[in-house]
Formats: sequence, structure tokens, C-alpha cells
Amino acid sequence: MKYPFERVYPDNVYRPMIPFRVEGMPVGQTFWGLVDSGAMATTLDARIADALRIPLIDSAAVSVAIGGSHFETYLADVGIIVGQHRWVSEVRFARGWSHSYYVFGLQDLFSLFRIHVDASSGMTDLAPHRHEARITRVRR
Amino acid sequence: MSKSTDWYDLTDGKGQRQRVTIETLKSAAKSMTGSSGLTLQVILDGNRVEILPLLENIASTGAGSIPVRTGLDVASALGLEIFKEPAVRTSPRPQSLRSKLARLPGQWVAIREDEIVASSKDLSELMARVGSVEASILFIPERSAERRR
Repeated sequence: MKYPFERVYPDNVYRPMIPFRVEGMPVGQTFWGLVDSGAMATTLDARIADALRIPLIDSAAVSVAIGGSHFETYLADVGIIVGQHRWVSEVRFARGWSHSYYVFGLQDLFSLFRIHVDASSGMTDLAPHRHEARITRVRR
Repeated sequence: MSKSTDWYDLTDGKGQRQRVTIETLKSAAKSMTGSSGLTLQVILDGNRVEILPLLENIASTGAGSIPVRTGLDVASALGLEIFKEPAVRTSPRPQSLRSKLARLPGQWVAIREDEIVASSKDLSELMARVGSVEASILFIPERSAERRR
């Protein structure tokens, strides 16, 4: 899967972003996720979990620092869909997230796909690892 | 270039599944003439072709019925290179959209082809209002919270 770099408001910089869905949201709607080899976990806004009625357990909150800010985060297993590929991800949902996009890190996207980010052409190329049983194909 | 997959399932105007492959695209390209707006071009057999009219031909649907996002998904699924004008990387998003987004801090916004489809402070309400329309969902940060990673 090839995706051109995208500039997501309010950023003025084109970055390796990919459109994705969280299982349960209407088909056709997507968020933007930054392909970030400097991050570990997949991190989403906790309000996405609230909107999709994904339970977050307050007693399991963990405070983490992301991009210089501290967030209370909650882990939950959710289905993530990129193109026609779906997998279950252990997502870190952050309260107080204030970015317009989210983060895919080493523990998830990078472990499931071979990823090539080419800044000169402004393209991100994802190919699922062969025999990766965690990935299934979905119809749009 | 390595292919990610060999096919992509596209729903046609009658709700039937049409399997799109490199061969069906080539076949559609032979029967197509003219241009319909240069919205999304891919490299097919070494030539730049507009993919959305080809998909509309395969799906037997009208002009403008296939969204750019679907074209991108098909290109990704078939491993087709997307042609990108050098100027595209640096051309600014229409100022009007940025201006409109700047007036919606703290809101969730649905954007489709550089137009705001809907906005709301409540994400679940926004999702319900947008329904099955293809759109990017963004949260517009408060100005004080804007910062670069």
C-alpha cells in the first residue's frame, strides 16, 4: 500500500501519514495516523474510545510522556483497519490528546508491515509481512 | 515495484462486486478517451492514466462517483505508482479551508476533498451525522495547544 505524504491541519509540513479506521466507526470515515518509528505504541485520543463505546478502566490509567506532554493513558484491544487490512491492536488511549492526528509506533504497525518511508518522493509504502496471521483482509 | 496484492473489490452501480486487477484497468484504459479532470493519476504500463474514470468505467457508474480515497486504495492494493506533480508537495492547501478550520478550535471536523462536511464538539454525533460519506475526521486543536511534534 502506497500513501503520499499528507499535511494534516494545523501542520504546514508533509509527513508520512496513513488513513485508518477504528473498528466500529462508520465505513468511509478515517483518521490520520503518523507513521512514527520514534514511538512505541499506537496512541489514539481517548474520546475516540468514548465515541465508539470502548470501555476504558480508570484504575488502569498509566501516565506517560508523549511529545513533551504528559497524558493519562488506558490500554484497550481494538480493531484497526488500513486499506483492506485489519488487525487487533493494543492501543494506548490518551486523555487530553490535542493533536489532529494519531501515532503508529514500533510495537504495532512496524511489527506487522514492512515500511518504507521515502521523503524524497514523499511516499510511504506498507507491505504486510508474509504469513502474518494477525492481519486479515476486509472488504470496504 | 512489488505488488501488495493482485486485486481490489469495487462495488458497482448495481451493488455488485467487481474485481479490479491490472488487466481490467488496462482493458478499461483501452476503451477510454479524453480526460475528466486530472484528479488522480497512476502509472499503468509506463503511462500516466487517470484512475477514477477507469474505475467508473469498470463499475458502470457515473462521472465523479468514485472518490479519490477509493482510487488511492485501489492503487495501493495493486501496487500502482501514484503520479505526483512536484508542485503538489509544496502547493498550499486552499487558504479558505485553513481559514475555516482555524475558526473551529476544539471541534471535530469531517473533511472531504478540501471541503468541511460537518463539525461538532461531540465526536459520536459527528460520526452519526457524516454516516457513510467518505471523509477524514480531524480534531481541531485549541490554538494554545498547537505544537509541533
